[in-house]
Amino acid sequence: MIVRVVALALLVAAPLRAQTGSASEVMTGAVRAYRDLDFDAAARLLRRVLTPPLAVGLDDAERARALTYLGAAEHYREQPDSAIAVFRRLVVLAPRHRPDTLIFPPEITRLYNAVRSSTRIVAVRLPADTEFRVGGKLVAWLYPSTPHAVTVAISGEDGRALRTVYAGPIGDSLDVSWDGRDSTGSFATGDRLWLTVTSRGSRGAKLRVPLRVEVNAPDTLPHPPPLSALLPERATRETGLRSLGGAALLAAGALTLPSLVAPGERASGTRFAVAGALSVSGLVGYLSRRAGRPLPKNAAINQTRREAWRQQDDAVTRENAGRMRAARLRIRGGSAVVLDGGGGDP
Amino acid sequence: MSTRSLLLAAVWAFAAVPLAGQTTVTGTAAGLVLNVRTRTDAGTALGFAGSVRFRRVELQVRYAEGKLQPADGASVGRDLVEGAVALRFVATPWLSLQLGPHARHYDSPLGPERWVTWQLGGRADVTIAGTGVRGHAMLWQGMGLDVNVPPGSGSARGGEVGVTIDLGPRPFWFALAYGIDQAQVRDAARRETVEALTFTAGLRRR
Repeated sequence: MIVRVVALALLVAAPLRAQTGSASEVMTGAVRAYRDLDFDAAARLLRRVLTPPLAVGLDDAERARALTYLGAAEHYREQPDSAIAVFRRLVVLAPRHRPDTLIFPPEITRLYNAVRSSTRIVAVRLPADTEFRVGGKLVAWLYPSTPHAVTVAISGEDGRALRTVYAGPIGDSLDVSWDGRDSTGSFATGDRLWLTVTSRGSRGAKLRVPLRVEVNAPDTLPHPPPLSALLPERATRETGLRSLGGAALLAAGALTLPSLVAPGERASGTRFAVAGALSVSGLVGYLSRRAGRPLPKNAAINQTRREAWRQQDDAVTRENAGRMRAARLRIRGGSAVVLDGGGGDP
Repeated sequence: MSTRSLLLAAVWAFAAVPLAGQTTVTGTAAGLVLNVRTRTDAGTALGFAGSVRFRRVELQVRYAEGKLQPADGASVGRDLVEGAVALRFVATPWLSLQLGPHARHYDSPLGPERWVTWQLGGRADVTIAGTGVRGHAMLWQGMGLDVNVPPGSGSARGGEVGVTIDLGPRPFWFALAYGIDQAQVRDAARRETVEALTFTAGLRRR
């Protein structure tokens, strides 16, 4: 029984070992064919090594080397479109890669540089896991294929930009930092945020790096609701009329009070003194509170209310700032995804 | 004013001053000049008024005394003493209710005469110019009337309309009010109507 299992395991394992081993062997054979100027064979072997399952065993450096040989082979096979496409793949894969000038002649490096210049893309390097307190920052290192203008933004799950962290030119490299906040100053949290780098221009590429942002923060206090019960600071037409109307009503009340309380009695003229005083007061009130006139007492009351509200809001802001100083952010970055490869002829 | 009224004024002033220092209690103290008229006589009375307010409840006190002279000039005049206490509940900034006893005492050569009424009334306040000038109107109904000459009971009602000028940040205020009340003694066909024009000058302490 044991013998059968071992034999079966060897049968299964043998092809896998042969495949991983053959990726290196095929690559060696392709390079040998290239040096022997057998470009057709070199291209065939290189395409094989860049295609699964052999491609699975290649790291980025080996893949970049294979693409460089393949682009050169296609050039010498007089397949310019194919050579450009291969070099574009190479630029997207490794924007900072340069062909070895000891191996490849100037015509190859010129063609590659032309493709690289016309392909605007940026490579992003992020720490896999970053944790910092409020005031700290996540730093991303950006390397362009060629100097150009870029926009770096933090986007939400729906792709909408939450905050633009950089917009401008990029030369040799660029460090971009992000404090974990969106454009409103709040923490941008979520499992599916993106660091999006858009190379501007007609042949610009768009690259996204997934981010997972967690904030370990204490609860904060709500801010006081906005002031709504403020008094009018300037008189309206109704303000003066209300004064006049109220005084007139009271004056009429003074005149008719005897007939209400003591009907049939002959009242004295003293009530006219009060009715007159009320009428004069009403006129003064109307004239002093005509439309547009400032109402300083209301303004003073409003100022007091605004001041009290501001002090309350400031106290909440201070308290929340104190609480947020204890918050910690954890940002985990994923692998970059190229959304648009930045096409164009060199 | 008699010694008795001066003593009452001193007691009131003594009671009001300590309250002024408390933030939730406000008080007023004022002097009054009344022009009082009945069907048969008229005269002037002097007095004082005061109030203490705690939140929505206010206690008011008023006292005045003077002399009424008959209109015909031939009869003998009579002394008038008037006093009232009322408990006022301020329901809204412009509407309040009040209840309390009101007593009016006449001293004449024929003997003392006393009218006591329990008044239940409502008062409306109207802002006329800013917060400095306000008007008010009040109507009240007597819950019971007690008269000693001739002994009996009856009904009474009255009202008052006035204007108050508050001097803003200064603690002074002035008021002018016209009031009228009528009391009717049951089964005696006796009716007393009194009009009063009151000028008040006072202090307010917050």
